[in-house]
Amino acid sequence: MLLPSFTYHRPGGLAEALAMLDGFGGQAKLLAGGTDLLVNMKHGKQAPAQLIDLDGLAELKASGSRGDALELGAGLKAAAIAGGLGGAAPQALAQGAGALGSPQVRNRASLGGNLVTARPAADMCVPLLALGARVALVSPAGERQVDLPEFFLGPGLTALHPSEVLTRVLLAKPRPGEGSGYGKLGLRKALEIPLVNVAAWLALEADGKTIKEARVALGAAAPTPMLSPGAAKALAGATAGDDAFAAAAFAAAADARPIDDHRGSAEYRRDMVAALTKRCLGQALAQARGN
Amino acid sequence: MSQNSEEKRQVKTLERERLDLGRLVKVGEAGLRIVGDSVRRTDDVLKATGKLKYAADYPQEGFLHGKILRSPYPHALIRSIDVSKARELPGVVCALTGGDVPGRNGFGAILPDQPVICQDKVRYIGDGVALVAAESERIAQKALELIRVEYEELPAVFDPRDALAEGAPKIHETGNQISLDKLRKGDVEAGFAQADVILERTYQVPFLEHAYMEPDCCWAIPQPDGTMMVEGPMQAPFAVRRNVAPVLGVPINMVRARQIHMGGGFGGKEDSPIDLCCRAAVLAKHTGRPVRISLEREEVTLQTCKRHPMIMELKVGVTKDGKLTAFKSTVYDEQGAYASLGPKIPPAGGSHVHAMVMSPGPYEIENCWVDAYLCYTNHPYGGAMRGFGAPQVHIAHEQMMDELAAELGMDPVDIRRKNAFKLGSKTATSQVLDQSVGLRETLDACEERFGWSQRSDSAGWVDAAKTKRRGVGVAMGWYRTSIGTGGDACGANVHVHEDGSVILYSGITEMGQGAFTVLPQICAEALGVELEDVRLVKPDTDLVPESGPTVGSRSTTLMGNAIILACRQVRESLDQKAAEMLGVEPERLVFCGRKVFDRDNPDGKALEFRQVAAAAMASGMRLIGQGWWAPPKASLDPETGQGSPYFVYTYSTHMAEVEVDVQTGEVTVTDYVAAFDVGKAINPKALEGQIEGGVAMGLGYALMEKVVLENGMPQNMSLQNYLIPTMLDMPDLKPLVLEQTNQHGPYGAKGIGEMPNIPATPAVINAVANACGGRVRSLPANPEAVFWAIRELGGPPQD
Repeated sequence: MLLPSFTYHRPGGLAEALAMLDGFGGQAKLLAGGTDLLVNMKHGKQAPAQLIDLDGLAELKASGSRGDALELGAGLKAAAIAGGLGGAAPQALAQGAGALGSPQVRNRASLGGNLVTARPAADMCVPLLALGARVALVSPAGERQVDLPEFFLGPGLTALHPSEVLTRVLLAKPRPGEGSGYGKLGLRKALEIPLVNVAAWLALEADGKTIKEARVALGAAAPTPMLSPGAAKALAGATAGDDAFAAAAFAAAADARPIDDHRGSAEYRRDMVAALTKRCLGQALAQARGN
Repeated sequence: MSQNSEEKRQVKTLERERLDLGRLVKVGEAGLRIVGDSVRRTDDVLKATGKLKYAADYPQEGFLHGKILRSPYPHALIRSIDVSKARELPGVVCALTGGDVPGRNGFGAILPDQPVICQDKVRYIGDGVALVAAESERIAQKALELIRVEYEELPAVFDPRDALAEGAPKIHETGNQISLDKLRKGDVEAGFAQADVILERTYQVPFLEHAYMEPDCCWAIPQPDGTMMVEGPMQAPFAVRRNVAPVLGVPINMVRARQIHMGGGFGGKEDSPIDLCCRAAVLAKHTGRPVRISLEREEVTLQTCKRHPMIMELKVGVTKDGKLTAFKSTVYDEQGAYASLGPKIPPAGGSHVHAMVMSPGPYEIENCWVDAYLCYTNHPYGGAMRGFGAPQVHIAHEQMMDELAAELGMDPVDIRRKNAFKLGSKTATSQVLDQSVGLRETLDACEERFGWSQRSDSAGWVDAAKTKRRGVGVAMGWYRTSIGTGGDACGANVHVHEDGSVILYSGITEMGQGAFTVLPQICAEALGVELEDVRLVKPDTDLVPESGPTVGSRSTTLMGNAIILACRQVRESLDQKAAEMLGVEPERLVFCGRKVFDRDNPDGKALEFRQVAAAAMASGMRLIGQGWWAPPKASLDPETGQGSPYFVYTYSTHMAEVEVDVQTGEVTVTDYVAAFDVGKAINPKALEGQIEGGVAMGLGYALMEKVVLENGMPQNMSLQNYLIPTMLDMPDLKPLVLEQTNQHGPYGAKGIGEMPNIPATPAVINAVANACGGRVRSLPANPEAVFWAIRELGGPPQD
């Protein structure tokens, strides 16, 4: 199927892009990598009359730190993030970006696109949720920042208004004593949407043993990527290690609300949430301990 | 996959020709220059540079676009169809229903039981109930939405055993059982009485999609003289012509079918072009204009044939020391809604017949009993797919061999060696294998290269954390060359010109397998010219002799022989003329590398091939050769399934190493060795490509592939959710090529196209079972299935 016809726009800057978006009043879609949008258009699921290409905007491709915060431009490509952004990308995010699609897809797909598409098991959304990320949403009226749990509203649904552009992702800069990890289960080793995916982040107390704080994020376990409150609770204050991780895995599986479909049963998915949670926590702990 | 394939490639010749048997095309082995050489494929530069045109790349100006309205129900009566609104839509040129088919409203590779346009009844989701031709694809699509159809749903049948039950809804008037064939050898009950161990197991395999990269596309162009020309990617242009002609109500000579280079077929493009070309031709006939039909991937899944699913109930007996004594199996081969290629073509054609003949495996067993059912259901229809009935039964018998070995405490290699065919063995059909049986040699070669005994000793935990276990698996296989139908002939024309250049006319199609390279190699070798002297005319039913379909691993062997015979006719003229010119006896002439010289005086006077050709032409001698070749007569007793169904077999052993994540059920294939007795490798590198692709497909069958059907509706219609292996899923593959000369084959060759696909699936499944203890008897062994198989055992082995 060929693409439906549309008018293509290439703004010179974010301000121009926002003005265009506003001017088209809901008739326009933002194009970044196109790995979701163009596919949906070919399948007739979306037919915007106007496409505004953000791919040329350098201001969306910057990454850097501001105080304790790490800011990632929404236009960054998955391939760049998988490459680690010169060591700046947290481990779980780099792993997630590296597990997305294939080399061709990673060269096109953008960080912001992965977030606004909001699939329940998106490879970058799940790590970002575990990492406690926020997104910056900019409109002609100004900027607002939204925590990811409030950003994801349903499959393909987010808190992004039609007049807004997701410009940056904000994270706490990784510190010593912290670590993260990502795990993905699929039927094959590339070009695969996760059957289940999990990301974990934890911070250790100064003793190097006690967990100060932790987050476990689950994909394909609910209509949106979700945090497991039970896992966070089981981990906070516990001694890092197999027992705590088993308890967190049990809690994560209990929090998960997976569905039965032709790709896998809910029962299996729930078991896999537990298995991957343990592994991701193991990876996070190893990183936190500097291993 | 094989960066160092030069180092890996091993072609080992086991045995030269021995005897002259009947209609043997005998050629000398010595001094082969082009045959046996890994010359570059004739199409690879075009493919690599993107210059090769596939059907979808051809200009569409002047074409109407055809679309098919498909049934949303798996089984229903059509109460009424109203196409009037569609006809009124601007840009629509015609909208047709069943009554508009000019000739026979039915097509099919064997039985014409599938309506071109369903008139009274639909039998699967995907059945065509109306056709539209419009000025654009979009308008045609829009027109489909304006067609009103009233259906009356009928109860549907989705399991072959239900279809066979008393009182089951009748899918066709002829009944749901298309065929029941029987194989009876020895006394199976007496065989079980001799056994020390008897196992009964049921194995099941699902519908598989071919997932050829190129979705189907074809067009029909009415010619000024009333001929209908149909073109597209097709494996069987002659079968297309044989169907389009009666559908249009014209004789065969009024239809011309031409093949366009295929982006993969794997058996699937034997059927689907019949379907598409018939429909495009009907639209073209009505409109008098060229009509093109191009399917989306989802339409390919909905409409075209799949690999037959089978349920296989086995009971096998073995003595304490591993000798098989009795084999009993009931095979339910699900044909789906239409007969396609399934039904029996006497003596030994048809998917269930092939499955029946091969189902006891490449083993000597005195007592065999097989009942093979083929029946209709309301699922999509089954067709050919790389092995046609053989992959399915190999999955059963090769798992059973491992289950028996485990029961006996035997090594899986030893039990196979104990029973494997050798020269002189009698098959389950009591065929005596009198030549070219390199099965045991493939086992030996594989065992050595893989390091079976060391590796099976080191199976077990991979990591200290005990999350992964390693295991090894073996599977053997055999596969026929040719199709066993009794009418399996191939024709070729060879024209030699006065400048020494050659045109080869062959109806064998190219789908990536390398026929357009290997066939000219044979022609150049047989004439003694260079490969670049031979131009191949692509399959065109107006130009080339009937060659049959490009299926059944038959092309190189059957067409190769036809080419040699055609070349020989030309050589009679050339021999006579060159003998005159050199003043020597024709028997002493050697044609080699564009030179003609005296065998006994190779350094003496040599003629140029072109001189001889020009001189022969000037004397009015025949420089056009036509060769026809058919395999020795096939036989299979209709009551007992005894006889010699296929004239020669290719043999193979595969060994796989896997790692199984016992917590998630994920499987990684970590190493792979596959050995083949191919008779003669005409082009070893191209053959290696067949092996790599075939193993990849077999691995997909084992671990991930399945068309998921719910109430007859495919749930995974695109390549986003119908998963096939990627490069990352493939192990480092080491192909071993052995040559045990086939006396009936050109230069000793046997078929190779399908064989690599066949043992790959059970080799992987057996390795998974060896690694984790869990055995998945209903494929695919995806992570979840492996996970539950381990869970069923109460966890992985702890050693």
